[in-house]
Amino acid sequence: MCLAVCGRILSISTAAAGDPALWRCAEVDFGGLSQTVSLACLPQARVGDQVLVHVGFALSVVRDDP
Amino acid sequence: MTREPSAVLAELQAILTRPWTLMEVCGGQTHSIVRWGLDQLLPDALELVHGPGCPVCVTPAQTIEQALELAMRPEVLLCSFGDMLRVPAGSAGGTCDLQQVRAAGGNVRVITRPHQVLELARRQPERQVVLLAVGFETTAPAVALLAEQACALGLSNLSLLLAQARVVPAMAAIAAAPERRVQGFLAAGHVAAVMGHGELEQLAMRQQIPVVITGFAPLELLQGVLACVRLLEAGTPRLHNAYAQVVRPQGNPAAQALLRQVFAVADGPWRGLGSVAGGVLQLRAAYRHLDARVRFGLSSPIDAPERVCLEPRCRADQVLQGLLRPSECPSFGTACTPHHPLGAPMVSAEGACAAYMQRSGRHG
Repeated sequence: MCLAVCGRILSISTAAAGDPALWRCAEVDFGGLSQTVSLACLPQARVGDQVLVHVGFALSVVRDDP
Repeated sequence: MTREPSAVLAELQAILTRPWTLMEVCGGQTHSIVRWGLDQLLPDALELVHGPGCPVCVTPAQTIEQALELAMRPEVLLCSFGDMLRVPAGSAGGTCDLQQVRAAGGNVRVITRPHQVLELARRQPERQVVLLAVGFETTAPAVALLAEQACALGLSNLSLLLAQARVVPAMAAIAAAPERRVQGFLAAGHVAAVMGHGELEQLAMRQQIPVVITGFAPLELLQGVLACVRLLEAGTPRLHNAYAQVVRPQGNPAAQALLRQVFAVADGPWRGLGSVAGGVLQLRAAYRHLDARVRFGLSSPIDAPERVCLEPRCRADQVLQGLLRPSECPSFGTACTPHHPLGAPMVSAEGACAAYMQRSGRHG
């Protein structure tokens, strides 16, 4: 259940109406398979960032060199 | 940081002066350890015991019984992560799971993301859509977001059957138990990605036990073990982050704020462990209208003492506390198999018993 997968953000979108923080989404590439993922809790995430995703929800921006 | 598994193992061998017992907390880590045979690569003096970090395994039987009951109601569409479908619940002699309820005509939908529940509720306004929301702090932010979004859209046909557990209080209970064997923790990296260092630091200090935030890949696990042994050998029981590429000291502040907004911390039951102080999340008053137990008149798990195990042949309670190795259970591989599980740890992709079964399957 706590398994999470890393993917790269291809694009970011926000719903036309409502609180943008609630609906901010990204198209994330997981090694060739892309899925829509919530960015509600990663306001700092940008296109090209590698993010850790769990149940369709981005938890953390992954750094290549910690 | 050492990058080669053989170098990590060599350093472990070099610094080890006595036997140590470590617990990896997360079931995902258990599976990785068993799958890659890491426990067999480690020096004999190091023992890894498996922790309770399997949300499916610790979801109270009462909650699963409530899910079974809801799924049989004609107006309800019960949504669940796939792992939960084969977890047995029900009274002794009459155990049942969600898969059987579905086969009997119950409305059960497997989902992989809470957001799907929002889509289902919007598309089927005539249906009561219920999410069996199990999980730890890794999953809780996605559930909290669903609650916020349901409120924002004014959806009156979406509700949550909540079984959200908090990992660190369960670690504290294990560390404080008089029969404690565990001398160091490999903490679950993805829970820490959300919650940060804070509560793990406190656990290490209060219980005087080394805690190492650890990832899931084989090398990450070996590096976690090495970091934990370093702390043990040096006699410095503190927190170390061996998963810094993902985990920041502050965790994910936006996710924490979302959790605080929607949930309150409560004492509550973990299947197999009994009541854990501060061990569960419940919906705050402003979100109570999304509580499936309120909506359908079911009892709250906070008020019900958790039975240790329904099935007398199942020793899941001891397995979950690291007191019994899965292969030492008399039912392991005989009365209890992945096809006919007696307890949740044999079902879940994170259950320790299932991990041991997969290994015994691979090696004949």
